[in-house]
Amino acid sequence: MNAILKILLILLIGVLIAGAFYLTVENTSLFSNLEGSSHEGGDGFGKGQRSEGARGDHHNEEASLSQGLAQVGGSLLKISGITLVVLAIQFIFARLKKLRMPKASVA
Amino acid sequence: MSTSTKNNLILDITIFAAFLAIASPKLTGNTIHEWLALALAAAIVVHLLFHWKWIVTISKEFFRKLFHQSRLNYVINILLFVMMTASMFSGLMISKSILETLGIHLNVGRSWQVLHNLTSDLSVVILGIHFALHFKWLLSALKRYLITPVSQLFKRPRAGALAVQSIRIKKEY
Repeated sequence: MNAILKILLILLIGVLIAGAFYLTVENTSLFSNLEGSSHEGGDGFGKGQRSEGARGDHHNEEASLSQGLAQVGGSLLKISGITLVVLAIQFIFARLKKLRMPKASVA
Repeated sequence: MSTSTKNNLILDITIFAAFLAIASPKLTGNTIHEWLALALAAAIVVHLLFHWKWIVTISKEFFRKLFHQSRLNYVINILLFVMMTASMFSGLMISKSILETLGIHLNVGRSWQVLHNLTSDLSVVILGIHFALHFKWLLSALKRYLITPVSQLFKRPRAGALAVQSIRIKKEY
C-alpha cells in the first residue's frame, strides 16, 4: 500500500477516535461528573457553562526547570514501576511454564 | 517503508524523550508543550508506518489463535493509540497557542480538561506496559548500537595488540 494511503488511514482512525470522544464529552455528563471529584473547590464551570476557565490547571503553566525535572522524574518512576511489575509477571509466567513442562514430558 | 533496527531505535528513543517532555508541562511551558505534542503525533504516524507489516499481519490473525504474546501486544498498542489520540485531541481543544495561531477560538467546558488529565495519566501507564512488552528488543538493540560501540571506545588495546602494531609500524618504515 502506498505510504500516503497508510498515513490517511491512520489519520482517519485518529479522527474517528477523536469524534467518538467529542460526542461522549459533548452529549453525556460522564466527564463533567468526574470533574466534580477531581477538582474540589473548583471555579464551578459545569457542562453547560462554557468559559476560558477550561484552559486551566497545567495549561497555564510557565516553565520551571526544577519543577519540570521533578515531573520528568515522576513520569520515569511511574513507567519504570509499571515496567518492573509487567516484567515480574512475565517472569512468573515463564517459571510456571517451565515447571509444567517436565511433568508433561514424563506423563 | 524500509526500516532497520537502528532507525527504529532512534525513532523510539526520540518519541520516548518527547513523551517525557510532554508529560512534564512545567519543564517546557505551555507553548512548547502544545507544539511538541503536535510533533509527537507526526512521529507516532511514522512509528506506525515502520511497523505496518506487523500491524497488518496481527490484524489478520487476531481471531485465529486463542492466546499469544502478539495479541496482548496488539491490544495494548490499540489502547495506547486510543489514549494518545484522546489526550492530543482534548489537549487541542483546550490549547492556547495552537488554536490562536490557526485563528480558531473555542469556548469549551472543563470536561475537556478532565478528559485531558485522565487520558494523559492513562497514556503514561499504558506506555509503561508497552515498554515492558518490548523490553527484550529494546535491551538487545541498545546493547548492539549504543552500549557495545561506546564501551569499545573506552577499551584499552591489549599489550599483545600494541606489540603487533609497533612491529607493523617499524616494517612500514
